[in-house]
Amino acid sequence: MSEPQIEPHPDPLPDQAEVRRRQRSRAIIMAWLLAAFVVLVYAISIAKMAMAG
Amino acid sequence: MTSTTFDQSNALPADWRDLLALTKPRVMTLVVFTGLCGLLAAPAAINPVLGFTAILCIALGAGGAATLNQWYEADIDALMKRTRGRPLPAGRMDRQTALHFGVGLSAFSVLLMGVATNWLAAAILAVSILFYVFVYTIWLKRRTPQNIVIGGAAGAFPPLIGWAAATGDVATLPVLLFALIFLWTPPHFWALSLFVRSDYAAAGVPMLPVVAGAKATRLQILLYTMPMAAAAVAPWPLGLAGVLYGAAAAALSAAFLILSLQVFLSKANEPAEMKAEKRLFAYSILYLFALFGALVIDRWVIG
Repeated sequence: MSEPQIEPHPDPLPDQAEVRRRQRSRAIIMAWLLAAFVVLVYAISIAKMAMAG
Repeated sequence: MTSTTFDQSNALPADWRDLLALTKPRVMTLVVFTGLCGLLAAPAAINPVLGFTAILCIALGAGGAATLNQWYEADIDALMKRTRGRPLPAGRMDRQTALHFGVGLSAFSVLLMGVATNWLAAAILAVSILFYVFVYTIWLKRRTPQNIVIGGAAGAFPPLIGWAAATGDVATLPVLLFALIFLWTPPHFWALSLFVRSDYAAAGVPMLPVVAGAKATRLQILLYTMPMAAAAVAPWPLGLAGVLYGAAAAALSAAFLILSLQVFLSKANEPAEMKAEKRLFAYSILYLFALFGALVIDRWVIG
């Protein structure tokens, strides 16, 4: 009797290391963007207060 | 529109470079530059932080609109050589990520513009995004060869937004700048579509060269160049810009007309032979940069 043929999964899961790498790089960029946004909102507030004054 | 053009199951999380590519950074350069020039040409001084924020919002809004454009057009992008390497048709990202990213970026840009500058600028920014996505991308692009004539308005808003951000108002000069970009868009895009005609034909996009042929397109390029040149020069005789801008506009527009005439006289059929068309396309980008640059120099240096 011949051995059953194991076919490769037609839709394999992506490489978990690559998933983690991408999640990490996106998280780092998101952190930088959020920090930049906080600085920007602070600068906008100062500018608006200076204009009002 | 087909819902998907590739297998997206078990897709990797999108790489940030692909998210950036969705925003069409190269196209954004011209949008940001014209917006900045609209802001700098305005008679009111704006706080540098608020001015920077206004330009940032224009860039983010343009990026959001470009993302939504690619989200909707993934199926036809997959059929064109020029666009099949984009993140969605190439299968490097799922469509939902692109949709969320585009909507988020667009909404964020409008809200930040409203909070930082004024709600007139935010409203014009919102109109430009909605116009690009709904009127150009969804409604016109696949239906009529006039797609970029009407849709070109979307790309003409940035100087108006920059001006409104600085002054809180809309005046004759930014409306003329709007008209200039609106009239510039057809010759610019038709020059491109002449030498990528087979791409558009393969994707079933009814660009003018596909529907009416190269000869009619070349005539239309020449015809649109004339009112475009008039709109470019108009701020000078109307007293809205000085002699430096007037001379630059006249010289740059004369060169545009000569290149359009060369395209009109061209009989080239193969993209490799279309030197005049490629020259006009490249020059049209330089033209807009130089013209808006001249306007700002005229306003800031000459006064």
